[in-house]
Amino acid sequence: MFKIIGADGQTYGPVSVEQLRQWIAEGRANAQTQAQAEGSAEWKPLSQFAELASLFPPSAAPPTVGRAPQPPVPNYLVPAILCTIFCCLPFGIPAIVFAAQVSAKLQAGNVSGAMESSRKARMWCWIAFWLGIVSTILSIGLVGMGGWHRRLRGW
Amino acid sequence: MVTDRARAIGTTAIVAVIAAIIFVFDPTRIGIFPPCPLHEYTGLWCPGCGSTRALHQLLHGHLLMAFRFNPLAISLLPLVGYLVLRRGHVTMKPVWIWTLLATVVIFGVLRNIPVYPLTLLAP
Repeated sequence: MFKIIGADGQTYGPVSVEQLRQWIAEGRANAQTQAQAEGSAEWKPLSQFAELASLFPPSAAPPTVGRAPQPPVPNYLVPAILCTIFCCLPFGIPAIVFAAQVSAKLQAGNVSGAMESSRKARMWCWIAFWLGIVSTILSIGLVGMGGWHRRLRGW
Repeated sequence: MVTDRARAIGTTAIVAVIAAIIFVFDPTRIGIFPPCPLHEYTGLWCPGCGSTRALHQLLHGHLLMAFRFNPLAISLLPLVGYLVLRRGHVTMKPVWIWTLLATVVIFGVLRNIPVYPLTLLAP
């Protein structure tokens, strides 16, 4: 016979193992529910009782609802778009290509391939970004040499 | 939670500063903005050319003027905003990313063709 502490903080029982099994099935108790065996003063989670092991079979994996969760492989689409459109860099285009590949490979279940494409997408975003910085520095150097009017027309 | 919050605040701050700079300085008059490398070295319009000027007009409420500088950039703004807000929690189907890519490339080609209706696409 066991006493348990419910989610409401109230003590319930003592009840039989069969009653506990039903409460678990109904969701009123679970592996983490604090319980006390009759004749003992110690409170511990239900899952810690050797005599209750049958209530929590090790094969009871958490229920999978629908399809598996999307693995966290970033596709860097946002920086790719920002580099292409708002940094005015053609090098953002390979970044978009690899962003699309990340999504396509994830959809096909090819996680390692998606991660590879993800790395390439990130690489092209950085190439685009640093080329933008370098070209800005170069064009500032050109200002003194009559490049000013051309700067005004770009971007 | 804290890092997400810090990231959100940081992103908002950076966007606000950039928006303020683009609002205050007219890119057609003041050359403080980084130039487009492609246009700088080849004279061609890239798909993003004119987007700073377009943003400047947009921030001043001139939607039509913004479209005349870069219709693509203005059209993509809502998408970028949505993706940034739903950071990592939205999965775009590959076909949409390919469509986006094709749109960008075709737009980049069309705006370089010096024939009347297409010249409207150039900034």
